[in-house]
Amino acid sequence: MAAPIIDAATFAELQASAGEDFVGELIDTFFEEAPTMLAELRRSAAAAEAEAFRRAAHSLKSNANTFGALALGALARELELGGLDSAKAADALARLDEEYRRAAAALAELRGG
Amino acid sequence: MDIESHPFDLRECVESALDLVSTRATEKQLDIAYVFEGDVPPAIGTDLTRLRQILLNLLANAVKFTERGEVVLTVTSAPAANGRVGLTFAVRDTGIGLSAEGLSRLFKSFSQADSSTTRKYGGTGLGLAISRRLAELMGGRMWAESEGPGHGAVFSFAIEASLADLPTTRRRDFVGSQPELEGKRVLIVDDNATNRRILALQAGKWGMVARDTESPAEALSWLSADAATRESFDLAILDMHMPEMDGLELARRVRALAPKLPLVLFSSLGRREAGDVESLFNAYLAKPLRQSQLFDTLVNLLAHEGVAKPAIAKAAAPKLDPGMAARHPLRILLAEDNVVNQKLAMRLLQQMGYRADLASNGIEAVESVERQAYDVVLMDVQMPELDGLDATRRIRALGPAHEGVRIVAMTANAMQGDREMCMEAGMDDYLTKPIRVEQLVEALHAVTTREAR
Repeated sequence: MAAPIIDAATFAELQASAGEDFVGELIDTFFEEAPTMLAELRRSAAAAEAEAFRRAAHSLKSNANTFGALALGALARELELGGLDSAKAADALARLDEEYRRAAAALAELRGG
Repeated sequence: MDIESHPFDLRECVESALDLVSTRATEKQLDIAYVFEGDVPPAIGTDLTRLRQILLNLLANAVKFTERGEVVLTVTSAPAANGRVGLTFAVRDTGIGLSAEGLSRLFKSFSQADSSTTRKYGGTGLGLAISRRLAELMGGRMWAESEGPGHGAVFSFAIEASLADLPTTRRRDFVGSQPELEGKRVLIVDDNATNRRILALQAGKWGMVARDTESPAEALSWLSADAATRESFDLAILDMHMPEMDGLELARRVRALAPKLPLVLFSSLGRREAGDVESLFNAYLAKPLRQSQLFDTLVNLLAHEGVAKPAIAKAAAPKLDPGMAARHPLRILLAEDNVVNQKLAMRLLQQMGYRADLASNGIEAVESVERQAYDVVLMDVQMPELDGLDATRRIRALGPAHEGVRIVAMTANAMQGDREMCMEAGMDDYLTKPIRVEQLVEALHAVTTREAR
């Protein structure tokens, strides 16, 4: 089975330990930071900067997993481990963008509710 | 290193850097503020990310090395050749200061550090040597001054930028007299001269008439004189922490004299933390003061005077033991470059009563450990400029004075061999991310406190 968009248990645990209001703020921070990471992945892939690419994938993975966005985390992890080669797969970065949109929509809903 | 140039709002850049250090400043009860002196252009063209990185580096250091008093960022500008503008940023603190020898060594450490590494995302900072190099690449320089140990320090840098226009959709025009505020009289009571000056200066720019004093007693005398000499005000801004009388007590006395005067509490604390159970205040202004927030607050209160009541803050649901830090006191340095991870770790630590210092990369981590004693460093393994493994090796090479510090790895890798790699580099413990509360508590319990050593 594919990883869930947002793992409910992870998200609930985050809320319980850090507080609901704070998690809302943290989601906002993620929404500010994540687009920069996605852009950095494209930029470093185009410039063939392996280290920058790996680091951006690593950061995205780490943050996605913090919120329980496991599907996004898994995709980012593939890119981190695969390096520049994995970006060459035709739609790798497009799939990542798409998964980010799904995760962001789900997080926005969780925050609002 | 590559320097980009694009137009951006200078105030937003400055405020976003201050935002990242304001929590820590609040915990230490430092006054933190910024002021634009004279006609600093609202929009400039240079490398926003790099500029913010330098600012963050200097601000984080200032907060880190100051135990009481204030941290103030002053921005000034002067015309430069070819229609460009020269900008000087000065971060002044009232902290531990530097000796002449310390000053001369400041920018030298890690000048060999690999500075060609990637541009980082978000609000991360840099070591001093790299910050200085960046300032040079932006057409300027960086320098530090201190009257000596115990006398604070001023870190300054100058850059050159082009003048820019902001897209009109994003611009809010705070320049010049504002019709909603013009002629309104504001009373400012704050023992901190910098804060008084910033508030009075800004209110004045918007066409308001400001009267300020450091003394609550004097403020009360202005409000209580006989009808002939009594001063009338449209609004009062009161500081929370004042030696003579705190903001709450002053508010009670002002209320007795001028029941309808809208009152604003200027504090790093929120309503609940300030203990304003009587709802004495109509609004709250946070530190560092944001120009846009001040504007909104003033307009809001002066448009419907005395109506607005602060909303009651929603309570968080902390599950952590807030007394842990009192029983097991630790000086903690968090070395982490990712903003989401920074905020979350700081939050968890704060809920246990800990106040941690922040380093945004390995270089800052080593510099911090060199300058100040910590019980434990929570060290992210993947960091730009200098990763956690190399930072650990450098800390372990610092010598006997720094031997006691425990280093706990934090990594999102959790791959086989990772733990061994961390231990070989000289770390003592290992946490996987996302950080789990129980794991973190256990790792902190394992740290020997200084008294026990």
